Amino acid sequence: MQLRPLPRPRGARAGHVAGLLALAVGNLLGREAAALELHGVSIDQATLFYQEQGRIGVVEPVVTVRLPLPGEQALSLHYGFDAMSGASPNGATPTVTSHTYTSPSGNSYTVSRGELPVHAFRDIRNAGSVDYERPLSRRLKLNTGLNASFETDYRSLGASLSLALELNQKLTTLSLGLSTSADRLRPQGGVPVPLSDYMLRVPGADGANKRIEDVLLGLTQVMGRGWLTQLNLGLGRDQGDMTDPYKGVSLVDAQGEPTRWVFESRPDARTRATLFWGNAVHLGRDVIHADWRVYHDSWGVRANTVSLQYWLKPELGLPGLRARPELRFSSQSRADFYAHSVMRSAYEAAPPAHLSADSRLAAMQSWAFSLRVDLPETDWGQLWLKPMYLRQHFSLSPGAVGVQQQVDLVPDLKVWMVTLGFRTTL
Amino acid sequence: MRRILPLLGLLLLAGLAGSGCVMSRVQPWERDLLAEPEMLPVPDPLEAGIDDHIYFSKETAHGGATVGGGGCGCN
Repeated sequence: MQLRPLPRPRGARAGHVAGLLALAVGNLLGREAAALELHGVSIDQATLFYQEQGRIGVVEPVVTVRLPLPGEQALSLHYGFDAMSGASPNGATPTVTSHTYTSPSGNSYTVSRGELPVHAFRDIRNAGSVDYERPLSRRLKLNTGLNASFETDYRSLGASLSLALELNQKLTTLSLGLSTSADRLRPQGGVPVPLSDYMLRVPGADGANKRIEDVLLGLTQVMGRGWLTQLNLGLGRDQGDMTDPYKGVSLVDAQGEPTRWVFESRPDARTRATLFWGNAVHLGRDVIHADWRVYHDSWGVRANTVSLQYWLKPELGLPGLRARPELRFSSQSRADFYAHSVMRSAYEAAPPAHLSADSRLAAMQSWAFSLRVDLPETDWGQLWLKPMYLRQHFSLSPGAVGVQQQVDLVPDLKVWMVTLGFRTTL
Repeated sequence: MRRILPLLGLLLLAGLAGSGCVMSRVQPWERDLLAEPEMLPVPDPLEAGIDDHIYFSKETAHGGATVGGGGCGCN
């Protein structure tokens, strides 16, 4: 294997990294790497610090290395690690008396009156992907990828392929994207029998499978000297076990007091459709991004999401310095089978096929605000920082009865996040 | 609010169309603004991936902008 001489590195450490990358790519690509030019290898790193009020905390470092290859090819390697800990809602309803629950691992815990029942939770996730892009002709580009993700109780293996066809002197791009993943779930204590008693824990299978397939058709159009618009139609299908093995639903009496707790149950198929319209508009110095997404699925969830980004680029003679406030709002209707709790008499008279108290399936309004600041570029690279706040407000469905009116049945979710990023080009 | 958002989207379209950004045939030598990194549909894929993961884990609606990405047992 012959490699061209490396471009002048920005220090001994950068040169060492470049050497390792050259070796790795050479091994992957064999003879093609003979013409490898390491100039232009970019490394993007970011770490997310995520904390929900009273619930889950996550630290998530991620890194992407992009290696340009001869003939306008490129290889991207991505790795991410999540360390998650804290408390996750178990699906039971808050009430005016304290209750004792049992976790999937068999530990008992007591929840005080008025508190949202949560169970302690800790997990790690390792995720990686490899993407390869190359032109197939002067107008047609191919991008393929493989990805894998591993958690203690969950594994996902996936692949994606996309084609982009440039037309009309590169003012129009048509794109087709396909992706699929095969997921395997192995929950603590086995897969629960849907709608069985949570406390009795009827033994189920060791694991379950899920398959996800997506198709995306896209049109990107240059509308003017400073306006790029993008329209995507996405269709997706999920098949397999989508029931959350750790969440239950409370059955309550006529006074609203929980008397029984059963595992949730979700349909084993879902089709999804999205329509996404994105815009980037140049204002002469600054840039605005305005996106709108409509979502609909066969579980009855409809959602509208809008986001606005304003890239502010002050002319202070500091290359790379920029700031970007972003506001995102999403409104979602509830899934057909969502209920924060169910009247026990009605449930036992006619048990539903599917039932979930997971608030992510509830009608909600979600607000997010962030401010990203990119510091000026240096010889070593560029740092950026993004604090972000997310708040979700849930609609009550069904309405509260009896003692339920004395507690907050589905409290708002408040999340603080900070992301610290660094990028460099060798 | 769910009924208002589609109207806001249409207003946004009308606003952009009326702001002077009318569709025109941009010549290759006029693409300096389009070439700026902030004009990419996804200016920072790494950041977008982190955000997508957050929203995927907290909302039912997801996807729409790109395909691919890693799976996750978080939702």
